[in-house]
Amino acid sequence: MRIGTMAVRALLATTAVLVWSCSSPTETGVLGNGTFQYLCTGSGDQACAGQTSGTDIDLPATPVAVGATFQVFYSPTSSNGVGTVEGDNGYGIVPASTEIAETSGNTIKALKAGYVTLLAQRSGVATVDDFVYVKFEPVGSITVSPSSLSLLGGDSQPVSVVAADALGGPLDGQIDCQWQVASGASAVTLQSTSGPATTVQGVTDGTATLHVTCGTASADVQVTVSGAPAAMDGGTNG
Amino acid sequence: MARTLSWQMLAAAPLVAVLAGCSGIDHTTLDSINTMPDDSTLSETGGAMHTGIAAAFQPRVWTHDVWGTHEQTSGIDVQSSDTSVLRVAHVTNDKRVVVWAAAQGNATLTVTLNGEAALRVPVVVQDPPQPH
Repeated sequence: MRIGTMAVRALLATTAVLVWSCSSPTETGVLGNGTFQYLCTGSGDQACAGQTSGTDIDLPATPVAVGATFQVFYSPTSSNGVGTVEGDNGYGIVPASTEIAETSGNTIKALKAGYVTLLAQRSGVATVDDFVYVKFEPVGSITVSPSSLSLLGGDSQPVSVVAADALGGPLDGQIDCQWQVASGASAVTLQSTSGPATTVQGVTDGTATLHVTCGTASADVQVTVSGAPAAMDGGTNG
Repeated sequence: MARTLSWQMLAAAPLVAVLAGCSGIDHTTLDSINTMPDDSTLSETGGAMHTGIAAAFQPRVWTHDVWGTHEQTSGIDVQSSDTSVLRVAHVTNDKRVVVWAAAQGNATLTVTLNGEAALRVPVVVQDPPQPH
């Protein structure tokens, strides 16, 4: 009898520990009717460091950068409906104000600093199932990695940006950055000129300066190219 | 017989009038308003919310009559005077409502019982402060 009681207590304690360890307070809606999850859409999102694109993670506690895009999905509890976290489960995410955040399909873009409420609504139904708050912060500074690079002619190397708020805190979301070759344009080419990362290719020997702008923050990257094949003069012998 | 009935009706008339005059909305509350993450506020006396912020609460209305005060459990609704500023929706399968600040401006939140205004709450919506 006594052993049985102890076994029951042990079972209850284990269950309590499991329940506690499995709970994810950051993703539960304010109304307690469902959970919100953040979808990693690319490697440029700091919230998704180490995650592959398409992975669901808990809603990050860190702010999203103003100008950045991100995706959030809602999954109701069984009492309010059925559905999976992703895909068409009949629920959409609606920002409380289109002045603070705008949507395009499933993608949400942070427009202004502040908090925005993301409302989970079933399509065609006027009621709100649940909601969650997300904070937006402007980009205060960016760090480019690597800060400088040396390339052999013809070689390529990725360069990426990490954004921080005014106090140096991390910011999530796919930040919106513009890349350009500020000087030495003949030495390098850029694979893309927008987004949180690009790839630089060495073309001719020389130096170049890349300039990247993300919101109000910007940074330069020095690139040195060497060992490139000599440029042909393109002349013809007559 | 007819004269007796008339006298009874006359005698009852003041009582009916008193009963009718004593019934009505007693008080209304916005119950269990959730904490908003910024300094937005909402209460029975007024609200100051930042654009983009939402709050949930359960509107509760009590009426009174000669037998006392009673909480009403149906016929309660919440409306906004300007839905471009402040929007309202019921929570799915729930007695709570969600109000959210859609744009800057002023709006009045009205709690009604069977269409009769039970509480009016003036709400001011302002954009969140932008860092310089």
